[in-house]
Amino acid sequence: MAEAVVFYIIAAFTIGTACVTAFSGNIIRSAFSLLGTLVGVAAMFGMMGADFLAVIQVMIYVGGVMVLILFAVMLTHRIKDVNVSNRSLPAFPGAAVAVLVLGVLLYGIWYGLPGDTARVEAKMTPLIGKALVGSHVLPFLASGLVLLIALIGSVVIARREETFVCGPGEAKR
Amino acid sequence: MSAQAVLTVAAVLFSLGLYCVITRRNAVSILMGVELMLNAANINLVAFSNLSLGGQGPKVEGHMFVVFVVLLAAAEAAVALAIILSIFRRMGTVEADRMTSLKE
Repeated sequence: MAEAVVFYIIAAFTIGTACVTAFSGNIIRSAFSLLGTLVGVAAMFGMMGADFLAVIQVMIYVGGVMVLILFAVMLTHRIKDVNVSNRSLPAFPGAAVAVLVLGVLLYGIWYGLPGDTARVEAKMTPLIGKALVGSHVLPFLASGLVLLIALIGSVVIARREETFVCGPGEAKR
Repeated sequence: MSAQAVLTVAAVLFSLGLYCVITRRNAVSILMGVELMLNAANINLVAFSNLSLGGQGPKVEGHMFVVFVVLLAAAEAAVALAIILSIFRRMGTVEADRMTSLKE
């Protein structure tokens, strides 16, 4: 019973902050409420028995991606016009598509699934650790490569283009 | 805490992210919508991974998927925000309907 109450509190928090993210006219408010959504999702992972995923959700999303998004918001806006910079299209077509998708998803969820619990009692973290160096070692190493490439690529893309003078005897760029 | 409740929350999150992606013009806001949709997909992966437990020992595959999705989402966010920064420097806007040319 207490578990259900905690779950509904977390769900309401997650959906509420996601609504603010989707509907707010202020992009800073959107970004900070996305922070709440990510923390709520981490709490849901914790409730489902996926402790390790909750930890990496907080570390990577809340600690990394949110900081990146906030940096991007601050770097691509002037401070004075931050209030008006989140223009949206007319709401009706997007709302129609989103509601249709939601209807299809909810139909499938409520009429196509057995009523089973989504909580796992086993300790998943040791299993994840063993799988990372066992059966999933190739994607693990490949993801390291992907991270390296993404890091270098984003540095190169975001680098400020500067016209610099080369040494004597070389052409000016 | 039934699986239906968890999946319902994920479906609502996904629809909100979809609405955000469709209606926003600011590229950073579109990226926030994509993050919402990715989180909804992660909740679904964990929920279904736990569903498949019936009598055959713990399944770790769904959790592994989430690990890799989170990792690739971080890489994707870094590259996408770098591209947005570069576009902002060159064109002076981050609104998706004003990015109409591939070069200056």
